[in-house]
Amino acid sequence: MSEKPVYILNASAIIALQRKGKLKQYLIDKTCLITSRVKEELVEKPKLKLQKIKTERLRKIIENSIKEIEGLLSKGKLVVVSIKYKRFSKLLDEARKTIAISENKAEHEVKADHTIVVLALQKALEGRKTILVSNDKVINKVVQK
Amino acid sequence: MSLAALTIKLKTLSNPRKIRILVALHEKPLSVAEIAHKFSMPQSTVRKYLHELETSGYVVKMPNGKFKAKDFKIVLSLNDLAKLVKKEENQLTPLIVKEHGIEILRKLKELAPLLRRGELSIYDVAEYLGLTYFETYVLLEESGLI
Repeated sequence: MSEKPVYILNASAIIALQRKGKLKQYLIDKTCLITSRVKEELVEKPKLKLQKIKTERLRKIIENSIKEIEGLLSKGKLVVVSIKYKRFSKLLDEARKTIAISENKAEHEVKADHTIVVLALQKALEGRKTILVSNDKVINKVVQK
Repeated sequence: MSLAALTIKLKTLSNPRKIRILVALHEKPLSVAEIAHKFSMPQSTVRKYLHELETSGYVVKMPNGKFKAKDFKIVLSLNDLAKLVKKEENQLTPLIVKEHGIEILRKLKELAPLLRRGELSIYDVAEYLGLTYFETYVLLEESGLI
């Protein structure tokens, strides 16, 4: 029997699936890995902004998005995985550099989640069949390079 | 096409005089004066009608100043309307604009070329607009930028 692939989702893929109402369905038969940056962008940061949002319906929709992701995290369908920073420091630098070139900006100005690319490479180097799901053109371009 | 655009398009055809002008322009291109003469209408009315027909995409102005009709076909089922209404109901852009102001859309328009070329990540846009990642993604998706 062939080994199950490792799925890594970036924030754009999670929101895209969520918007279509297909996130839970997508995760039925699999566990997906995310970086702490994804959790930060989809759970922690919006939680802080939530109380400031005056438009009730918008607040409710964002709140539901956060709750769904938190629920999937607590059920273990989404798992936050740490990057082995020491081991992959060169790779992290390289990913950031590639994004900086792609975005035509200085490396320190890179906001895109380069850690997701490194997490995918980390898993691939561990010998796992790895699938990175992303709807962010910048990330996709870096992966293709 | 949005529901608002569809209703404008249909409303444009709700006047028999405009339909007669459209059919005449289908036969051959005509100028404002020629249309006014043919239908015994004031030129100002013809201009108004042509403007509406042009805005809705039914006619096009040629370099010689004459207008010609563009071929079209309207097939509209109740099912199509239901899909359109459903799609509009799910649109969150109006809520995001209500919350953060119309300025958000102007800023987004500025970033559009960079986004289309994949030179800006969603994270960059979120930070630039001061929105959550969720709001940014929704804006980009509903604007057709991702």
